[in-house]
Parts: sequence; structure tokens; C-alpha cells
Amino acid sequence: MQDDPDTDDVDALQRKLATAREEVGERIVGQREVLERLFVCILADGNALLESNPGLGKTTMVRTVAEVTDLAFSRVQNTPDLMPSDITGTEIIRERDDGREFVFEKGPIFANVVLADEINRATPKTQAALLEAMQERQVTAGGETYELPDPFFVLATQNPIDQGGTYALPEAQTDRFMFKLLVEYPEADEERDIVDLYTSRSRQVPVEQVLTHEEIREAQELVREVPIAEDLRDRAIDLVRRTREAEAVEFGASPRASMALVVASKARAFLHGRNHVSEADIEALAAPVLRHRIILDFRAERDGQTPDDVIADLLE
Amino acid sequence: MSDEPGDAAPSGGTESTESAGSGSDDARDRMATALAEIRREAWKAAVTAAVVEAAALFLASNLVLAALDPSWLPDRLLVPASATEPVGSALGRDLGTVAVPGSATVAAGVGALALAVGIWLRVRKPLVEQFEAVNPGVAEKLRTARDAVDADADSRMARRLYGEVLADLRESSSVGLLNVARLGAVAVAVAALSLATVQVAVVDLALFDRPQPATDGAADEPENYTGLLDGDRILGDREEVSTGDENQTAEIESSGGGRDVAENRTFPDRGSSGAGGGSSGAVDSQQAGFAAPEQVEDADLVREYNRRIRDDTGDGGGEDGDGDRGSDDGST
Repeated sequence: MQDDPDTDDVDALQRKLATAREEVGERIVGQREVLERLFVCILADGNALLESNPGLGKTTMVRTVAEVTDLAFSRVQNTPDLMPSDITGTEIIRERDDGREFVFEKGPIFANVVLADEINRATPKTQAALLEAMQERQVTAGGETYELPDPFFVLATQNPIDQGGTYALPEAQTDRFMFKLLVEYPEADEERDIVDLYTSRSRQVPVEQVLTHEEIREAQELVREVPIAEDLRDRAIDLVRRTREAEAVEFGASPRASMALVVASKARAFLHGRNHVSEADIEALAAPVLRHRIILDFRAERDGQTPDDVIADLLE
Repeated sequence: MSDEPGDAAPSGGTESTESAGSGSDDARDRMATALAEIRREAWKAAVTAAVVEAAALFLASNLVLAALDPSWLPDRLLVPASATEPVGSALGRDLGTVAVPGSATVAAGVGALALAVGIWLRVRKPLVEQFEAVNPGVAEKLRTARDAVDADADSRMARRLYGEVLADLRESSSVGLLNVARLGAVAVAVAALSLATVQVAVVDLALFDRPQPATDGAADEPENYTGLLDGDRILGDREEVSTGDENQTAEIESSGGGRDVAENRTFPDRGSSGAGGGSSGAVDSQQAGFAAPEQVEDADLVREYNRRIRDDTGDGGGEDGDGDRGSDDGST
């Protein structure tokens, strides 16, 4: 089957994706799992919420991903005084030879990869504008609607510590993120490599562009075509439904979570060069898909349970 | 049973997919054909195992019934004429009354039931899933491909999956559908039961005697067959027989008669025989007895004999009152 012209393209695309991951790995030491899920999120045409302490290379990681995939990158540093128009863009008066006119000046959200740093420091109004644009894939200003570029990927970060002066994202808005990824501190040997890598050279490690816009879009289309067995699909749905019935969970995940889990599983299968979804895909992605979509019961929190613990219990 | 269900595909993946355009339908059709072949293989495996086990059960049942010889089981069962007539007409001859052994009939019923149950137990679980269970390497993708075929999926990724599964199926085997160890054990049991059945048929290992119907010991009742006996035990030890070397003259003398045996002698005819022609002594007639229930037809004959004996006694014992018809001591 591998000699079918159509499928030859698929093989080439899967090889390029593998190469892209290797390229990012040249610059980002460790964090293999986070990196893989970032690619999965891009292939599944989703958005990710990254939670980590400062200084773990989130910005470098996202910027590198944008570089190897030839995607336009922009960064928004969220602060309490950030206005929605600072993100989406605004109409400005521009002087011309024939007079003045209102021109829409696109904001930083008009990029393929948008890094919204510390999103919980923006006001709810600004958060809502960002997330609405993220969901609708378009921005409306001055009666005009502007399409966001395709592919479009928002990576928002938030700090789990230092919650003073922050505005926690409402559940309805966190639900719009396909993944919530937790970036852990690197292992000792990895940290040693990071120190060696970034203290012995004056310049950043170069990476090559491997994928184009078109290839990313094609990969996203192919991901949707990856077949999934009915029982695996049902297992994903059942897992999400059980979050609504589990004793340790006060509010469970929505059907959007079911869709996210299935399409993300397909993307992971594609990224791994497979033509079908396996059970391992669903199990690997259950926590990133569900952990920000469930609210634990206070008794479970009192017992020290985390959303990941509850999801692991539900997977068994 | 084919080892490679993937061979069910009409052609190899390389050849068929080279023809662009028809490739999409080809891949799905070949996958559907392969799935059908897998189901056939699973059916074969189910029937094979069930037949062997049913045969074992048939033989075991037959053996047990033959050994126990239960009283409720008739020796032979008549086959209804409605069943034999069509067969007879097909063969072109009259089969007459056909009877089959009772134990074999019951055992055949048990075997048929075991066959049906055995097949049902094996095919109640989806056949392709059984194949997946014994081929874990291809299970997940085969399961996905099966659902994709059912959903009539024909995307590029689905076609890639079909091709991959078909290639993997060529490396997989349906032999695992058969529990070879169990099948071997049952086959050994079948062989042992077959030998035991032959043994019982020849020697009759009846464990318990069948209750015998009450008889009055009539002479004409056939003896019950008790099986073959040991010939040596009956005839004794074998020994050489040599020709005798001594000639001996045997002389037989008669007493009570004054004449040679070769002389002309007259014997009373059958109708006048009796005690009347015997010795000079009178012979008292006795009433002959008979078992009235069994030999009623002899009563008249006995009565006639008695009458003749009385007549002979009454008229002086016939023409030769000194008993020429025979001596008193019975010698001739």
C-alpha cells in the first residue's frame, strides 16, 4: 500500500513531522512529552494551555516550533492593563494623499502561533476577547470581520504560583483549550545539558525549517481521516462521561472534551506514523484533555487528590 | 485451514494499488474479502473442534450405554417406514423393516447435540474478534479496519490502513483459532474410545447383568449367549495321538437268546410294541404322566398306549407269551 501516490505523500509528511520534532529537540533539552503534545495540538488544530513555573523554556519552545514549521509567531505578554484591542487590533486613522481613513491595524493575534504569556494576568474582558477570537477564528472590528490566519494555534501560559492580582480563567473558557500541559522541572542530567547548551555558545542553536503552512494544513486534514475503532471511540466517550458521574468530581467534562480526546488521539497516531488510533493514544492524552475540564469535589481536594489522580482512576 | 487469511485478497497489495483510480475501491474490497476469509477460517476452526469433541462424546456415550446396558434402553429401535421408504425408493429396492441399535441411536443424538452446542459456543463471539485475540500483533489495526470497512471509509488514511492490515495478515495465522493441545487430547481420547468400543462389541464388557425374564426351563428355550469361551479350556491340553500297535479282539455275547443274531427275527410293529411281548411276568400298566400345560397334544397318544397295553395283557401277552420280543434283563 505504501506505493500509492497518495499514501507516498502521507509517508513523506510523517517523516517531515518526525524531523521537525528532532529539530526542536536540538534546541529544547528534555520536555519530550510536552513537545510531542504541542505537535499533537497543532495537528489536531487545537490550542494549549501551558502551566509551569517561570524559566522552563516555554517561550523558546513555542518559538522554535514556529521556526521549524514556518509559522508566523507572535507573543502577547498579558498584564492587567492590557486591552482587548491590544490583542485583536484596532482601527486607526491614517493620513493619505486623498485624506484620512480608518484602517484596521491587526493585533498580535493575527499570527499562526500566538504565545499568550501569563494569560491569567489579563482582565476577564481581555481574556474573553482573546479566547473568543481563538474559538471563532475571526476578529470583528468596526463592522468588519477579519479571518485569522490558518493554521492558527494559541499557546497560553499561566503560573501556578503567585496568584495575587490574577484573574483565573473561567471553566467555560478553559474548556476551549484542547490541552492543558504541565511543564515539570527537568531532570538533573537534562538541566546540566541545558546549562551547557546555553552557556557555552554566544548564539542560539540554529534549527531548520522543515514544514510549510500547506504541509501543516494537509497534515491537519489527514489527521481527521485517521480511522478509529468504534470501541476505542466509545471508550473515549465513556471516559469523558464518567467524569460527570465520578464521586471525586463536582463538575465533569463536556462533549467538547470527547471530541478533543478523539481528534487528539488521531493526531498522536498520525504523529507516530500510524494509520489507526490505538488505546495508548487515548490513555496518553486523557489527562491533558481532561485535567482542566473537571472540578474536583472538595472532599477529594481535602484528601489531596489532583485531577490527574482522578483521571488515572477513571482509566483503570 | 489456511495459515494466512490475508491471502484471501484477490491480488497482492502492490499489484492492485498500482492501478490508480480503482485503487480506492480495490483496497476496501480486498479488505472486505479478507475479513470474509477470516470469518470462514474461524468457522472452520469452530466446526473442526466441535466435530472432534462431538465424536468423542458420541463414542463415550455409546461405550457407557453398551457397558451399563440400562434396562430402559431397547436393544434395537425400529426406524419408521416413513424414513426408510424414501431411502429405499432412492436405492431402488425395498429396505424392509430397518432397526438400529438403541445405544448407538442415543449416542448419536448426544453427539449431534454436542456438535450443535460446540459450534454455537464457538461462534457466539464475533469471529473476527476471535482471530484478533489469537493475533494480538494485528488486532488493533484489524479491529479498526473492520470498523472502517463497515463504515465504508475510503479516505487516504483508511486506504493506508487497509494496505497495512492486508500486509500484516499475510504474516498472521488462523491456526491459533484451534486449541491444538486440547484438540490433540480429544483426538487421543477418540482413538482410545474407538478401541474400547471395538473391545466391548467383541467381548461385551457388561458391568451389570440385565435382569433375566422368568422361565420354566423349557427345553426348547435357547440358551443365553454368554460370549465366546476359551477353546483350550473346553478341549483340554493339546496332546499327540499315536497310532495303536496292539490288536485286540472284542467279543460281544448275548444272553437269554438261543439263536444267533443273524437269524431271522421278527419284531413287533410299532403299533404292537409294548410290555405285552416281553417276559412271561405280567407287567402292570401304569398311568403315564405328562405335563398337561405343555404337552396336551400327547394326551391322546398316551391314552392310546395305555389302552393297547391293557389289551395285550388281557389276551395272554400276544403270540409269544414267553417273551420272545426281548429278555427280561434287557439284553438282546
